Amino acid sequence: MAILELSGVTVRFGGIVAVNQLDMKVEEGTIHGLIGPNGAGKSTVFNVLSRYYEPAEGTVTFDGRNLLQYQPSQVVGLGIARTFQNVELFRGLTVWENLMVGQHHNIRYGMFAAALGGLLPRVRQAEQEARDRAMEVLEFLGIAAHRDAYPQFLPYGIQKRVEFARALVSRPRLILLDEPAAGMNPSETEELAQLIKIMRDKYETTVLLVEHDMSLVMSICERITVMDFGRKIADGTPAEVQANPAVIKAYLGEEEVEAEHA
Amino acid sequence: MTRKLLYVIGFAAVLALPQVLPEELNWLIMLLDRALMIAIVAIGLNILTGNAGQISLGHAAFMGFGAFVCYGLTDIIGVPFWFSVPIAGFVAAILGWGLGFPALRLSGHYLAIATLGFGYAIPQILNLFEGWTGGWTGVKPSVPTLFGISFSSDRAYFYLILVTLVVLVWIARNIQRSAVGRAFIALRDSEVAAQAMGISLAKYKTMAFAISAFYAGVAGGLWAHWLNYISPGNFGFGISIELFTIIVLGGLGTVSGAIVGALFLGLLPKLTEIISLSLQRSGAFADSFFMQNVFKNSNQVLTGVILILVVLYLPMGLVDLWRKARVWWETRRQAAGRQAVPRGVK
Repeated sequence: MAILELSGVTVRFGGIVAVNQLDMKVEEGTIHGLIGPNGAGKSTVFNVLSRYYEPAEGTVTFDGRNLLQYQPSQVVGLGIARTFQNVELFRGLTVWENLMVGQHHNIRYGMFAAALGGLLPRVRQAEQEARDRAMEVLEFLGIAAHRDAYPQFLPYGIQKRVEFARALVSRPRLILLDEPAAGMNPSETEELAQLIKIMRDKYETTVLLVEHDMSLVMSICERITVMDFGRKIADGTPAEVQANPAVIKAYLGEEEVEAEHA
Repeated sequence: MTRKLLYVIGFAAVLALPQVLPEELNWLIMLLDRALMIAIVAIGLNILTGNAGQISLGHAAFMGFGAFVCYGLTDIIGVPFWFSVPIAGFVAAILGWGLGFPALRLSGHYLAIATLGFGYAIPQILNLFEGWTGGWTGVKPSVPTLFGISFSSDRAYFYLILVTLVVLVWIARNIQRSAVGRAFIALRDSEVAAQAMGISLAKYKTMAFAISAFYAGVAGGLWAHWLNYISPGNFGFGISIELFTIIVLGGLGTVSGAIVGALFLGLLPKLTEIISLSLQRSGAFADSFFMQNVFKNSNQVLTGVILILVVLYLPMGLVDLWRKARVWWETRRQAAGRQAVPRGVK
C-alpha cells in the first residue's frame, strides 16, 4: 500500500515552474530514492511535504489523509519526520535536549504545567519517558557518549547522526532524508547506507531520500524516482532506472549529438 | 554538599542584610530593592530575548501597565494587594500575548523597532485614561499592608520583593527546563527545524511575549506600591534600554544573568560615584582646575568604560566569569597534580 502519494503536484515560484505535474507513490516500508541533477526540484518536493511550500496544483495524500490541509508544525504529528540538507540542529541545546525537542509533539503538557515543573507528577513522568526514549535512540545510533555535548562542537558525521536520531525519536512512519550523504567520504557513506537499512528495519519506518551520491542510492533504495527540470522522467527499481535512456541523457547529456558536431 | 551549604549561608546573609545594615546605608537598601524589581522584569525579558530570540525594546511599557493595573485593583477597586500583584501579571501577560501577534511577522531589527513603538504607545494610551492613571500627573499607590505589617520602609519591602523574586526564579527555571523552554530555544536557533519538530511559531512566540510580560507586570505591581508614585511617563525608553543592557551584560538566556546584570547595573553608578567623590576629596591635583573637573565627571566615564570592558571581555555576560574562574581553578589544580605525582612515584 502506498503510504505517500503525490499526484499532479505543481509548484511555481513566480514564472518558474520548480515542480511540474509530479506523480509519485512511496510504498510503505520501502527505502525510496528521489534523484535528479541539480535544480531538478527534489528539495522543492521535500519542502512541499514539510508544508513550507504551497503547491499551485495537485494533491498530496499521506496515510489516507490530505497532507495539504495541515500546518508545517502539524506534519510531524501525522508521522512524517525529516532531516535537513545542511544540518539544522539547535545550537543552544545539547544532543539529548535536541532529541527532547524531536519528541515535542508527544510531550503533552502546557505552559502552566511547565511553570510548576517537577512539582507535577505528570510533567516528571512525561520528561522521564522522553528522556528514556532519547537515550534508547542515541544508543541505537551509537552516539550516546555525546549526549551532553553541544552539537556544533561535534564532527560533521556525528552531527548527521544526531539529526537522524532527532527524526527517529518522534516515532515517524515516514522519514525524509535530505541528502544524508552530503559531505561524507566513501567509507562514511557506506556506514550510512547500513545505518539507513537497520533504521528502517528496527523502527519499521518508510524512508524517502533525496540524494546526489549514486552509490548510496543504488545500493539501498528499492524504488527510485528520477526528476529533471521539475518533471518526473523515470520511476522504478535501481536496475530499471539505470537502464533508462532518459535518465542517462539527463545525467550525462546528449553525448551522441555532441560527438557528431565535434 | 558544600555547595548546598554555601547556598544556605548565602541566602541567610541576604535575609539578614536589611537587619544588619546601618542607617547610613539606607540608600543601599533602596538601590537593592529597585535592582531586584528590575531583575524580575529582566528574568522575563531574558526568556523572551535570550531564550526565544525575540527582541523587545519596549518592555518598560508592560511594567507600567502592570503597575497601573495593580494600583487600580488595590486602590480603586479594593482588591487585597497580595492578590492584585499576580493579577497585574496575568493582565500584562494578556497584553503581551496580544502584542506578540503583530510581532510574528517581524524579526531582528524590525521587531526591535516595532517593540520600540509599543514602548512609546502604551504610556501614551495609559495617559488617556486620566480617571485611572492620573494622566501625566500620575497617581499615588498606597503602602501595602500584609498580615498587619505595613511595608512602608525599603527594608520591609525588601522581603516582599525577595519572596516574589524567589518564586519567579523557580518558575523561570522550571519553564527553561521544560518542553516549553526547549521549544523557545529551538525556534530561536532554527525556525525551519523547529516547525518540523511540531513547534508552532505563532503559539510559542506569543507565549514567550506573554510570559515575559507576566514578569514585567508583577514587578510593575510591586514597583507601584514601593515607589508610591507612578505616572505613565515613568515607564519609557530609559528603563526599556536599561533592561536590555542588563540581560546582555549579565548573560543572555540565563536567570542568574538577569539577576547579576540587574544588581551590577543597579549598583555600578553608585560605586563609580563613590570613587569619583573620593578622588575629589583626596586632595590630589587640588590646584588644577582641569583635573578637578575630570574627577567630578569621572563617575560617568568610569561607568561607561566598565560597561564597554565587560561587553568586550565577557561577551557571554558576567555570569561567564563564574565559569571562567572554575575552568582556571580546575586547570591550576590539574597542573599542580601533574607536577606532584611523578615526583612522588619516581
